[in-house]
Amino acid sequence: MDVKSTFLNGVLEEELYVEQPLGCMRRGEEKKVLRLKKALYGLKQAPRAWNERIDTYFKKNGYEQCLYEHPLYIKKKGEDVMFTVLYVDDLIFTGNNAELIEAFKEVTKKEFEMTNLGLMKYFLGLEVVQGKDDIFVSQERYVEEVLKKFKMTSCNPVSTLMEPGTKVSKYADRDRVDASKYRSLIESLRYLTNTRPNLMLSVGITSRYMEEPRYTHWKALKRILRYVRGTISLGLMYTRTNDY
Amino acid sequence: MRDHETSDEEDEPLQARARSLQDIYNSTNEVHVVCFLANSEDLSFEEAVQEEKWQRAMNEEIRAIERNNMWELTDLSRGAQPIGVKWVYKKKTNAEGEVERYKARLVVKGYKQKEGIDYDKVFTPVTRMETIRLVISLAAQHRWTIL
Repeated sequence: MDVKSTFLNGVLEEELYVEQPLGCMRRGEEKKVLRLKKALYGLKQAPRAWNERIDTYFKKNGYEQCLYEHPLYIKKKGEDVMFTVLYVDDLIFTGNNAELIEAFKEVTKKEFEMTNLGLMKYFLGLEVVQGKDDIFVSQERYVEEVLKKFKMTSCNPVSTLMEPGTKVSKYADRDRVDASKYRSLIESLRYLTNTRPNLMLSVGITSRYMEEPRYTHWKALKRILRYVRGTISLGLMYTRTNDY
Repeated sequence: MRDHETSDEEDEPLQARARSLQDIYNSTNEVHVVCFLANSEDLSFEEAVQEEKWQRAMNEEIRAIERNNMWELTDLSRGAQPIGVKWVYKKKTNAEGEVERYKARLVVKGYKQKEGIDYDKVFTPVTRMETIRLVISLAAQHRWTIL
């Protein structure tokens, strides 16, 4: 779920003044200024102030911050355990006691204005389907966006990531291609490896030529996209195992 | 700490002809780019105030700010420098592309802030995708739901 008008929730430590905005000057007091108590959009410390606020909130409510991954909070209470992950204004909850989570959500709703309170379906571009015994994660929507961006929506799909026996080298040919476009596609495919780890090898190989990409490299990179186009609905399936 | 820290950067010697961003900001009076608010309307306050819909939007924003008790009117304390604010106007459209709502947001000209005076800490931790996947696999193993 996410918090509305996030940055307006942050409490400021610093003494900070802003001018009175046009359109709501107080008559006779035009010389006065406004002392900010909470963050406004555009302030350098707005994200930080928000994080401070929610961090304090979690700790006050019995959560412990993970030492190695600060946005992860864990709360243990007897047999019960609750996990919360924070991504700026996005929050996810899980744990063994559904009632406890529900209760904490209700309390949190009183503290902050929130939306999307149901099952997690979408988080950081990941599409999540929670089944009875498994959880499926994919990035279909993201792939569509990337295909559109690189005008490959109706390309011919292929079934392999690289042509067998492909040889790529730094000076593969003389035709240079637009390096920023090349890097941008690399970046997109890298993000895709989050749910498509099998792209890792070929994206890794093509990444080596980011500095001065040639036509051969670009072709190899586009081939990955054509593979993705044909396997758009693939993702990661998390299941249960008995020998855990 | 693995936080994204921008506050404690060492003062690197500037190259002879390079201008720091701060220099550019300081020499610029106009706001050319409001990069965190895409597709905002190119509208000045003077233009917006002529129209009732934008007036209403601005009143709404001011009311929200005051309801949240976000500021108080005071005299400027000695030596302090107030930071400018600016209105950003935005048309919110629905899925069909029709204008649903006129929104005015008051933003601070954050680029005028001076480090150490107006702010010192700006980092905020973000999670790694590996952590998200870990939580998902944990939930799958224990048949927990993720909310």
